[in-house]
Parts: sequence; structure tokens; C-alpha cells
Amino acid sequence: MNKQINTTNDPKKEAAEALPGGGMLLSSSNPVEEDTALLKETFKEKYKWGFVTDIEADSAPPGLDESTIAFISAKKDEPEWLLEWRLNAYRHWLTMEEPDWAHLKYNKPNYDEIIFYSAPKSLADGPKSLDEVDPELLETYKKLGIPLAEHAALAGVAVDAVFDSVSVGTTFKDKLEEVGIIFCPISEAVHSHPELVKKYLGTIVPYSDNYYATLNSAVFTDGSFVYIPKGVKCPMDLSTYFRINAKSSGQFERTLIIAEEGASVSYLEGCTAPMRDENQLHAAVVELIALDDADIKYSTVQNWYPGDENGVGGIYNFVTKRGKCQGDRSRITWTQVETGSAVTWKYPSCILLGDDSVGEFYSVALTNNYQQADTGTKMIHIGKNTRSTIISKGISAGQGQNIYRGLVRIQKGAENARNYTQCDSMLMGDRCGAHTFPYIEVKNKTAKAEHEASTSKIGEDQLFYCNQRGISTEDAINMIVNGFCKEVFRELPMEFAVEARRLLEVSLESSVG
Amino acid sequence: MMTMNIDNSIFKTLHKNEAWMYTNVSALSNVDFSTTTEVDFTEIKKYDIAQDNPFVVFVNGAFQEGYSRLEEGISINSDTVGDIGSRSDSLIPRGDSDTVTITGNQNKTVHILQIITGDTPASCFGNVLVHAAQDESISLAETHIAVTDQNHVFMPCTEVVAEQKSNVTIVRSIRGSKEAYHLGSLHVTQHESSTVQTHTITLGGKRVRNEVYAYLDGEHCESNFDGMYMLGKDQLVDNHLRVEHNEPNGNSREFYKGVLDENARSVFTGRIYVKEDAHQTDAKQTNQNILLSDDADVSARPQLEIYADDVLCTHGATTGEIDEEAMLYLRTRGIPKDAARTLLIYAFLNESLDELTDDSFRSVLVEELLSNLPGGEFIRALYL
Repeated sequence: MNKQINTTNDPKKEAAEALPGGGMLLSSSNPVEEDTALLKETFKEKYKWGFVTDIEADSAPPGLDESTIAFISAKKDEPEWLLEWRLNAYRHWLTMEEPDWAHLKYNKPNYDEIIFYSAPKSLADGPKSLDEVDPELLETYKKLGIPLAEHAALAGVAVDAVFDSVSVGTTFKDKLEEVGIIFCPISEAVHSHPELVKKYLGTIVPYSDNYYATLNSAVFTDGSFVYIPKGVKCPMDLSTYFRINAKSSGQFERTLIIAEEGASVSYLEGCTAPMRDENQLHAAVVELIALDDADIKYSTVQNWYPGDENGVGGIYNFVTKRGKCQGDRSRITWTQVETGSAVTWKYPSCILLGDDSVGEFYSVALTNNYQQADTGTKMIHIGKNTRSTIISKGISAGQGQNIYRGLVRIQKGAENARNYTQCDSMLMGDRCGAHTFPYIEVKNKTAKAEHEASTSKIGEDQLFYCNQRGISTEDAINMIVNGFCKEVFRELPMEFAVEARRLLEVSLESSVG
Repeated sequence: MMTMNIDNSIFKTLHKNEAWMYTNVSALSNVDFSTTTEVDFTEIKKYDIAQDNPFVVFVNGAFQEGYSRLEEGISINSDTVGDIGSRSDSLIPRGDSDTVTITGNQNKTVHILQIITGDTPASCFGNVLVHAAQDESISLAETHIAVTDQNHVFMPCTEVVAEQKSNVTIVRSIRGSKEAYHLGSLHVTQHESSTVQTHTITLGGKRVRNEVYAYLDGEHCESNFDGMYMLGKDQLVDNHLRVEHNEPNGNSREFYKGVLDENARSVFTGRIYVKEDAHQTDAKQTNQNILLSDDADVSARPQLEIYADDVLCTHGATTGEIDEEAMLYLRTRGIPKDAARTLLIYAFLNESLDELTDDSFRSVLVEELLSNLPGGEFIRALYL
């Protein structure tokens, strides 16, 4: 009884409870300890978007051999040359070993248990319009907040949505066709534009490139194909959403974007995935080609299931992304916000072949709980006066391990090449890790390469400053993290910037906030 | 004369390891080290650069008592290796040689001269143990010099234990023939409030690997590892460091800079490791390179591996030509182009040598630097 009276009569405590941040300000005990406890609580945020859509899948049997590849190829009614290419990749893959140089610890996927092809059965015939799309699917997209259907028009975004390996709906196609832009599933492009696919597929990431890219080449199921003709500026941002559904279906997208002379395009890729216990493999390949004066901006927001707070489950995200600035004065920009996946292994790269070409990489990677991310970029300077900028921001919380690994290579002929690299890490909590492994190779004396990196945490003084001004601790953390990532967010297209900020907040804020 | 017949097959595949990816010493696997070599002892006197200081002379890994001046705290043993080296993942072979052990206060810099010589290729080890007890201070200068143009391979290994509040300074200079291979390592264990500084100066050698492994096992350790190199035709230096902060409040600096002419190559790999709970660590790592030629080549890997949140770690690497603005500044003051260029390079490199407190060693190294430096005559004329 006494206790109760004391509690309610203590104005300090009452005020403290009223504060969303738990009132660390007014607490009389050790503020640092409380702060750490609060940070821990803050990062316990659950994955909000975990749900499974029940659709009967038309799947290949688990495991991989030449017949699986023939099955996939037959499903897609592919020409002979593509099947041959897939089989070459598969045969090469058998000779390769799974790489282990990355600073990652995980159980290697069992390739005998993976189902390499799975399509939602109701869609096997391919819908012609949105009305034909399974309403359950549309419901799923609604939950994800994908601006399909009327949302698409409002947001001005054309969506080529991939639901388990088969593209279900493409909007704004007509509008794009007017200016001659081809934006379709790559499986469709194989039939409608075989000469373009044959000319460019595998030229940037050859089928023998690396373990996961080779696997992708053998079994890729779908993805986007974009062709921007000479001199055309794409009138809208192109967008695709990947979503892993049906149990044990590793997804193997393959995206190919070609920007002809003077063309320009901004492409957005975003992902969420349902909650799962077993690890799922995702090994995508993205190839970009920019000819003279072309400009490609490729933005990713990745929010796949990261596993639970004990590190169980989650997606393995082993992705090969590479762009080639083939023409003079071309530009490729990679922007990524990586908040999901249990294990990320991803190095979007630029080959700067054309003179005066520009490569850019902006990245925010967040690892919480037991997530691990080994990510970065490669900038290969070959042409004269090539320039590259790398801005990488890593945030580690919980037991997360965040690794920046980047290569800057300036070849002998790259006169006056310039590189600027900045990678900053922020640690939250005392059990996480932030690592930086840059590789800088310079073979030209007129070139300049600069690398800067720093590691820091959210300062007690910063939080105190905000608290003092009436900003709750969660808000303060969000604000500080947002400020830390600002240089990257401002590179994202408008809609994505909003989503990215929201994602980061979801990953960081407690259920109270 | 004493020379070690080592199993040289290890050199064949060394560069297949990530830690050696830029440095290929596989040519050594084809060299025959088994023949007995002739040694010219008359050279030794020339390198006795500090005649008032203790002097320990080794020729091809064998102690030369007649030429040495040992003082209290300096002893020679044979076939002793320390155990700090085994903490590292260094792939450089280790082996027995005469070993010098240094203890007690050594305020006069102990000069250890390691001469590698012979008219056929020699392979040898050089083991040095340094033990600074509490509050003691030890200063050491190591000169590693190959005097004949052969494919000698020298594998020096210095192990340092710095106890509480002790202070150890090591200046290691690699000089002499531009045909020799130096694969050296330096292993340092530091205890509470100790201070260790090492300066690694590379002017000679064909392939030079300078490994530094430091373990900061006590709180409030101060560590300074710096290096300088000026290399020319066919030379390569590979500075490879790992600094482990295992306890809180450590302070470490790695600062390596160099100039590369002709087809010289520089490799820098620095790893700062901060263990869980090693809070208040302050670690910095910098590698700066100036390229004088179109054929020079730089690879840098300044790496951070951090498991504690309350730390301040930065690293940086820059590579480029001579600062054009600084050039302009000098040119507008009437200094000819070549002279301005030489002045700037010299200033860039000399910054490291200025750190050396012992005049006799510094002046010798400045002299050697000037003879390697394009236009060094001009600087020498300014001084004289």
C-alpha cells in the first residue's frame, strides 16, 4: 500500500513514465547503463511485414541437375541458345567452390534442398491485364504498399512486379512504348527482342564470373529487361518489386538494363519478404550498360526477412550487380539501402571504360540482431578522366556485423582519374561489429585516390542535447541516424527516400514510438 | 661461412594467400641457397655509424664477437626464438640463428647490424628479443643491409615485450643491394601504460616485406608505428601491419608514407583490430604515396575490424602526384621546376626521418635517402 502511494506521488517518476523514451533524463541511476538498455530495447523491433500468401506453386523438384535446367528452360519456352548458355553455366558452376573470403559466418545453403523454380500456378498462363491477376496477389501487394493499380498512377511509377519468379503485371507499358522504351520481364524479352538479349546478356557479368552469378546464369527464372533507345530520357522512374514467397524457393532474378547513346533512366528496386524459419537463398544478377552520354541510376531498398532476434532464419542475399560505362561521358549511379537479409554479400560495381565516365556508389547498410552484411563496391577506372565517388554508411546494432569491402582500381591508362571514398560506421551497443576492408590499387601517377573512414557511436552528449530540448530518445536516435545517412538518402528518388527513411525507422524504433 | 639451407618451396605459393596477394616472391623457390658463400668482413667498419653506442654485428645470421661492443643487458644466445611470434598468422618462415637479447635501460641506442653477404645467394634468419621491464626504456636501431647483388633472402624477426610503463623505440632500416629479399617481422606485446614506437625505413632491397604485429594487452598503451620508403627500379615494399587493441584506452598510430619512382611498387595493408570491450580506443592509420613515374604502382588496404562501440578509429589513404599548388608556390618564388620538385619530395619524406632522435642514425639515413632521390644532389648542396 505504502509503495503504491509512494509511486504515484513521486512526480519525478510520473514524469519519467510519461516520456516515450522511458525518462532517462530524469532517472537518478547511471544514465549510461540505462541508455544502453534503452538502445537494446529500441532495436528489438519486429519484422512488421511477415506473412505468407497461400498459392499453389508449380515447382521443380528440389535440387539441381541438367534436367532441372531443361525444365526451367522448357517452362519458359526458351530458344536453344539460351538453354545452351544455361547448361554451360551449370557445367562451369560444378567446377567452382563456394567462396569463403567474406567476413561472414553462416551455414552454407544445401543446394540439393533448394527448389530452383516455382511459379504461382494460377498465373502459369500469364495475365494480360491487372483484372486477370489473382486477387490474393493484389492483396499481398496492397499490404506491402506497392503502388500498383490506381496507386501506380498516383505515384507515377510503372511496376513490373515479380511474385515468385513470374511477372504478374506491367503498367504504363503503353506510355513507355510511345517513346520506344522496352520495359518487360526478361523471359518475355527473350521472345520479343531476342537480338538485344543475345547481344547483351552475360556481357557484363559473364556466366563464369563468380559462384553465385554462375548459379544464377544456370537457373535464373525472371527479372526485368529495360532498353532505352538513343536520346530518350525515360519519362518516369521504372520500378520492380521482388518478393520471395512459396517455401524454399530460392529466387534467381536477372536484370538487364541498356541505355543507348544519350539515354537516361532511373530504376528502382525494392523488396520485402514473408517471415520464414529456414534460410532462403537469393542470388540475383544485375547488368547495366551505358553507352555514350547515357545515364543509369539504379536504386535499391532491400528489406528482406533478417531472421529473428536469435539469428534464426532470414534470407541469404548473394547478389552480383555490375554496370559498365561503355561510352564516353556515361554515368552509372548505384544507391542502396540495405536493412534486411540475414546475410548480405553484395558489391554493386562500375567499370569505367569510356573517357570522362562517372561511377557512383551510395550505400546505407543496417545490421541488427544477428544480421551480417559484407557489402561495398568496385570501381575499375580504365578510361581517361574517369571519376568515382563512394559514400558508404554502415550502422550496426545488437550483434550485427557490418562490413564495407570496396575495391578502387585505377588502371595504367586512366589519366587524371579521380576517386573519393568515404565510409563511416556507426555502432550501437557493445556486441556489434563494424569493419572496413578497402582495396586501393593505383597504377597511374596522374590519378588521385582518396579514402577516408571513421567509426563512431551515437554520443551520450548528442542524446542529452536532444533530450534537453524535449526530443525523446527514440526520436533523437532516428534523427541522428537520418542525419548520418543523409548523404545517401538525398541520392534516392523521392518516393524511395521516403520509404527508406521509414524502413530505417521501422528497423530502429521500438513499438512504443 | 654460415648459411641456412631452407625449404624454399614455401615461397612458391605465398602470393596465393590474401595477405600476400600483391607480393610475389615465388622466384625465391628457384634459388639455390645451399652453396657456401664467401664473405668480405672488411665491409663491417663502414657501417659502424655510432661509435659510442653498443654495437652488435651479425653476418648472415652469425654473431661476430670481434666487431661488436656489448654492454650490460645485451646478451647473445644461440638457437633461441621468442614466443610472441607464434601469436600471429605470419607466413614468413622462422628459424634458428644467433639471437641477441636486450634488457635493462638502454638509453644509448643499441645498434644491431645485420649484414647479408656472399658471392652466391644466402638465406638467413635474424632473431632479436627485447624485454623492457617495468619503467625501463630501451632504444634500438636495426640496420639490415645486403652488400652483394645476389638473391639473398633475409628473414629477421624481432620480438618485443614492453612491461608496465616501459618505453621501447626501434628504428629498422633496410638498405643496400636492390637485388635482395627482406622478409621481416616485428612482434610487439605491450602491457599497461607502455609506449612503443617503431620506424621502418625501406631504401634497399628488391622485395621487402615489413610485418608488424602489435598486441596492446594492457590499458593506456601508446603505440606509434611509422614507415617511410623511397624506391626505384624493380623494387617493391610491402608494409603489413596488424594492431590489436585488446584492452581499453589504447592509443595507436600507423603512419606510412613513401615515394615511388620508375616501376617501383608499394603495398600497404594495415589492420586495426579492436576487441569487444576495448573501449576508448583511439586508433589512426594513414598511408600516403607520391608517384613520380607512369610505371609506379600502389596498392593500399587500410582495414578496420571493430567489435567495441565506444571507439574512435579512422584510416586514410592517398595516392597521387606532387601537389601542384605547392609547386606553383615555389615556382612563383623563382625556384626552378626540378629543384622545386626535389624539395617537395624531400620535405615529404624527411618528415619521417625528423622523428628519429638519434642524430648519427638520422644523418646516415638522410644521406642514403638523398642518394636514392632523383635530384638528391641538389638538396645535399643546400645542406653543405
